[in-house]
Amino acid sequence: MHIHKGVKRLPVAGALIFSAALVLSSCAGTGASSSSALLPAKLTEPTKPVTINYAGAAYSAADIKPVIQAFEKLHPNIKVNYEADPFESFNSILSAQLTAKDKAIDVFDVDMPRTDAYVNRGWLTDLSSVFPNVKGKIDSASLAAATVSGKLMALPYQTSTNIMYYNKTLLKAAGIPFPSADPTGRLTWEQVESDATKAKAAGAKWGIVFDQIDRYYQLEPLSTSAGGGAGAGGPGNLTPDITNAGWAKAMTWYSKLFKDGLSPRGVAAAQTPNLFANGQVAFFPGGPWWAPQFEANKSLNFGVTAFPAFAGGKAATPTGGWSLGLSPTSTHKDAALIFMKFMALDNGGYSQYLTALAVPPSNIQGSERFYNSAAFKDPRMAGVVSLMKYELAHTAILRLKTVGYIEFENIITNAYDDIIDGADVKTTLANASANLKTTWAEYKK
Amino acid sequence: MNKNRPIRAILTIVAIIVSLLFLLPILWLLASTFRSQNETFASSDPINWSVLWPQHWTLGNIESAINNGFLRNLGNSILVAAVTVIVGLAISAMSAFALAVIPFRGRSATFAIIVLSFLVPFEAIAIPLSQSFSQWGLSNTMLALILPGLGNGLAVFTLRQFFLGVPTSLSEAANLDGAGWARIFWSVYLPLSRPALIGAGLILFLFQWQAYLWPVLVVSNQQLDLAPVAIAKSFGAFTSNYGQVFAETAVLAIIPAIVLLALQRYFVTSVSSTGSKE
Amino acid sequence: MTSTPKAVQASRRNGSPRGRRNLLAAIVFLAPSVILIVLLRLIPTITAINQSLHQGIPGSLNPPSFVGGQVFAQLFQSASFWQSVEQTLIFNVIVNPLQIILALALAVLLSRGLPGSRLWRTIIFMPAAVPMAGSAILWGIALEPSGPINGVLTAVGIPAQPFLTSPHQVVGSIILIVSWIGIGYWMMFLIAGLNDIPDVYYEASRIDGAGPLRTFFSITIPLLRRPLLFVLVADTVSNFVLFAPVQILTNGGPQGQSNFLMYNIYNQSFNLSNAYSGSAQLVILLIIMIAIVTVQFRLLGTGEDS
Repeated sequence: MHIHKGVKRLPVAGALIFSAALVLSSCAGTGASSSSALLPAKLTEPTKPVTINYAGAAYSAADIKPVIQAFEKLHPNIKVNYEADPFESFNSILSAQLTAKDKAIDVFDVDMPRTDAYVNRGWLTDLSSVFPNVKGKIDSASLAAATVSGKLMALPYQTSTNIMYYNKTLLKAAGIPFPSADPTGRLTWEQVESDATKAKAAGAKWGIVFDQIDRYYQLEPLSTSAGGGAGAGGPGNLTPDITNAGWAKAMTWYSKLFKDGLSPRGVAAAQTPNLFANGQVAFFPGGPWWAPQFEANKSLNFGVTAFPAFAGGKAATPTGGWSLGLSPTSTHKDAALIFMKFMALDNGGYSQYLTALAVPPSNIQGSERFYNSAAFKDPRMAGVVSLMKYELAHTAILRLKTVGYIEFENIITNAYDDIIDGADVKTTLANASANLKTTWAEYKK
Repeated sequence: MNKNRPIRAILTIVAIIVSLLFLLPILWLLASTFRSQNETFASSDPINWSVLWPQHWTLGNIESAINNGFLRNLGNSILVAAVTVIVGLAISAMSAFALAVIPFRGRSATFAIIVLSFLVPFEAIAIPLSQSFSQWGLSNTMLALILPGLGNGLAVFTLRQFFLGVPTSLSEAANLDGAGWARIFWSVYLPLSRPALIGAGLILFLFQWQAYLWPVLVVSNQQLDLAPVAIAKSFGAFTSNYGQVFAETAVLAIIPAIVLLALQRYFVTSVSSTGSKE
Repeated sequence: MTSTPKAVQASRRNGSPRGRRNLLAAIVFLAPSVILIVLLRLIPTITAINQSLHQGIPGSLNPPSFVGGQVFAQLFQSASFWQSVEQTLIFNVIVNPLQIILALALAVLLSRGLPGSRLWRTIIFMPAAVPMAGSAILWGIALEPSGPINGVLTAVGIPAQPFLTSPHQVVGSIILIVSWIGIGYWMMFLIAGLNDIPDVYYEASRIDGAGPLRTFFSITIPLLRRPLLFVLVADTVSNFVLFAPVQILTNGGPQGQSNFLMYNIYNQSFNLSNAYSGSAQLVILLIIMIAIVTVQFRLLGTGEDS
């Protein structure tokens, strides 16, 4: 109970200290340091123990622990302090922590499509001189996402792809033939819609549910496949382009799924996998990382096929994941870079130390271990490995690359939600476009 | 008391029905704590009793919460809330007493500052404030979690309203006996104010019990994570453990309810029942 | 029958040595919380007001530039800002009286010594202790178009409702959620106030032959004024600054109908790192709240004089 006593006296004393601190800090001034200094090409192992702070959201502290332990064993002078932040609020926490002075984050997870925005904000350090020869070692889409104006601004370590799960029991009941897992057997979205309608009529609760039901990550390929593009063009991709025919086609198609009751309204993205896992959904375009959850339901009879495309349109699949960024204010840049290299490059990267892999690492050598995951040995996942390899190599499309991505994602998610809830597609897209124009004005100055 | 029996019976039935309506979502939460998340999402449509009653009971959600260190997070939340309530009540009651009882120049102006302070949504100033905390070197400390909960204008406000209702004759009598303000506060006002202190305690408590944004801004050390932060972390980039979220939420709902139930006997103690009326 | 105590005007006019002693005592009593409030609430607010006069790249490490009232000017030209103000006001005009009337009704019901009152009070209070994130997720699932509430509705022959997914029902649905959370909480403060009304008043009223309604309006309400003022002001403020259910359930939609000012402030400052627009909207929200709270104090008195 001595804790209480101590704290009880604190307010008065604390207040005095604070008033003093306030006076001092207001004199100290701010002065954000810029990152113009070039990094050394050779990394030197520290001779004295140092601790680097790594803020991440992709993995929980428990999941990443074996990776950190392996690193610390190989580099006894470097300790890594991993700070797992809640995924949903990671980006806002990061912006507060990077501008805070005493937290001194050295390395942090960078959501790939935000790389350009982070560079523009001055959050990232140019890594080109330290890692000049990563081409061929890292997945090309990941590398493209991490490169801004020809400079490597972050080190990709993990990417992703999508497939489509289908419920064999529900398809059989509706007399729908099982689609193949071969990319040549890719269904069209039109076909999926008509099959989903049949499946629903034959007893499926839902015909089709998108994993990331209102997220640009998974819905961008619809617009791209319909010929509408990623959503913006012009210099710096800062001119909205979401009112074209392709976007209208894709979004009208998506909107109809909900109007016809094939997809559920009012369901959060985090909830959708439970619907498929319960056997309520005929088609589920989604991430391979749900495989373990689906396989856990022994009575769920399902198969996988390629992420569909529109008839006559090109195949497009979601991709991207996380890179590592080096904070310009880091005081342990060498140690931080040694850690980043370990995560992304050394012997195939971090993935070899994880117990279970949810998504493929960006490191090409390291990805073999991912493809050998136990989750893909289940007969219900047959064909998924070669399918994922094909998609990553041929059809993966990056999200819109622009300094205004954060605002774009914010506005476009609201537009998706409105379209799902039944708002007029053309009006919604026109409003979102106008909204983007005003919001992006600051970047065009 | 017995002459209105039928009316009392009807009113009791109304009270029970209303309570049940408020309770239903919590019963669902409890049921979802003891079944798999697949069952939770499967059982809501069409409606039947299994919505509120698990078909296959499991302790899996509670186990996974405990394995994730939820007990530690819960302990942190309890510690932070307890310190906040104890210290916060002391300093809020002191200011409320000054604002309600001690006559001094500048009283209305001070009260206006207090009112202004609770109009400001804490979340709206959390980012600049967290930067100040980090400049003061307070990041990743228990103190950083506790401090913002202490300066609570609402707690001062509710206590002031109560103190204003205490008959001034009491303090005047004490004053004539030669008692100073400190003694009047301690031996006249505080003993009379248990219900109001419980109310102010609730305000202070819930601020910390619900705290989410502030802790994630000032604390990055997992050892210091509060319970609501731990709940948010159950939704990862590649996982979503609803079952665990329900279990943790249920625990957070039940603990204060038990405390409040125990404190209810003080709700009848009040100025009127002490016999010291004007 | 002297009702509530007299104000302490008399002693305030007392001689200066006593006045000085009182001032000293007041400072000692007020110092801890006033210092904390100034440091942890008011100074950051001044920082925020200052930010509203600046503009720069959101989240940038470079210092912003002073633009005067330009951020406000941009806001005033934006249709979505005005929609946000309008929806905030509509929501508050409905939710505050509703919560207070229901909280008062329950407080009266549960302070009559009915059997099990303590338990019923605790149950009705419980939702306030559920973390917002948890209760929002819970209600999100409950109000799904094919969720349990619609299950009950269709079972009794009422067609399923879209609730949170409809621009016409979203405000009502959020009112339902926050009332479930708030009513029991405010009820506790009113119960404490009701318990403080001396029984003699009720006895006198009964001897006068007053019915329950007249007793309620002529005894209960006037004697409940101070706690009622607190609940009125505190409830209004808490509903104006509410954003968690919106953030978790609707992100301001459908079609901007739940895009309340506080959610917008949160979205601008946390999601978009745009402290400038966020702060400008905070200033406007504060002005609205100050105006409303001032009216409330005028209506019910500050509590000192009665």
